[in-house]
Amino acid sequence: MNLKVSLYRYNPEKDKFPYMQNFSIEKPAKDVMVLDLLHLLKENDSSISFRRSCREGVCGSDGMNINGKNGLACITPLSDALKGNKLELRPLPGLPVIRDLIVDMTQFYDQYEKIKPFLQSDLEEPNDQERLQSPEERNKLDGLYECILCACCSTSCPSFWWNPDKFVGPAALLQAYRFLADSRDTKKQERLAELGDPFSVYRCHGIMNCVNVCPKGLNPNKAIGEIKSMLLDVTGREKIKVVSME
Amino acid sequence: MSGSILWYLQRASAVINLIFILYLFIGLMSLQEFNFDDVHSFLLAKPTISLLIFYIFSVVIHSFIGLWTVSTDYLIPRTLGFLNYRLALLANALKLSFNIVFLILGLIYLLVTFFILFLR
Repeated sequence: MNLKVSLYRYNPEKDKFPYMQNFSIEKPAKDVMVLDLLHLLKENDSSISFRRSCREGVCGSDGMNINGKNGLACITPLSDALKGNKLELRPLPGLPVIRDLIVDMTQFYDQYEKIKPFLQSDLEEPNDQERLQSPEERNKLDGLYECILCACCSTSCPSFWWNPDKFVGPAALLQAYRFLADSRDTKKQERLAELGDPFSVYRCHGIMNCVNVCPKGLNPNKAIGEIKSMLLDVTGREKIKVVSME
Repeated sequence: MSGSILWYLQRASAVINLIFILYLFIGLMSLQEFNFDDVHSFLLAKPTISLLIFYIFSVVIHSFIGLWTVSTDYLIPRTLGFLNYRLALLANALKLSFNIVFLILGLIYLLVTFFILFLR
């Protein structure tokens, strides 16, 4: 039985507009991943371009839109992805296309950079040991630190499509909360102040596309909810002065 | 303005809107006879007028925040550019016109309502 694969093609040096190229390929005898199928296609047409590296869902380079849903090609089995006998592969939506399935991730990384994704502490660094946490404090980071920055979530979010320069996006907000929840970080107020404008966090309307597509099973929407609770001062403990506004 | 203030305003105005609609619904349903005189007296009762004043302001606030959000999502070069690149060039002018028109409509709504309530 043959599979019908429809692949997004665009080479800015040759093509005026992007187009969908159709392939018919024999269905592999055993269930393979979508990335394996792309390699099979590339054996016949070496101009097909896509990113990939670890091929085990750790590096996050092969994020793409697989039959309408963002995911990592290397850990998406063909049997899960196929609709009938058809497979449609497109680049991650909302980001500029460099070539075929390769997108320009600059906007995504700019937002990631904005949230200062590193530990900041005013406390003196211990000389002979690392900064310690209790098991309870460490547990708060579960479900946050595992993000591999594949951009599947942010590029499935309409708020990020419309305002990628202002809305931080689910991936970066998950990381923002990862440091807000970290007991060793002492810049909580400064971090919240950077996020307090009407766009950075509040442009999330909770439609949960991010949760639906995350290949690592994480929940950025929950993290965004936690950040909103901190910003809204529901406990009356936060004193936040917004520094970044439109 | 901070996002938190907008968030609170949007939720608080939604609650006020809901309270007034429920008050109106329950009040009208509980009238013994649904005739002109009873409805007229209910609508001109002090509690109705007091709630109505809150409602008038909260409708304007709620709709303005909502439509401002819509305009900053959909009336921008990036979004309109998906439809047509020429439209993208007009996006900022369209957004400004949209916000001005809505502001004018909001002011007219407030003036007309206050005229009906207090200057008739």
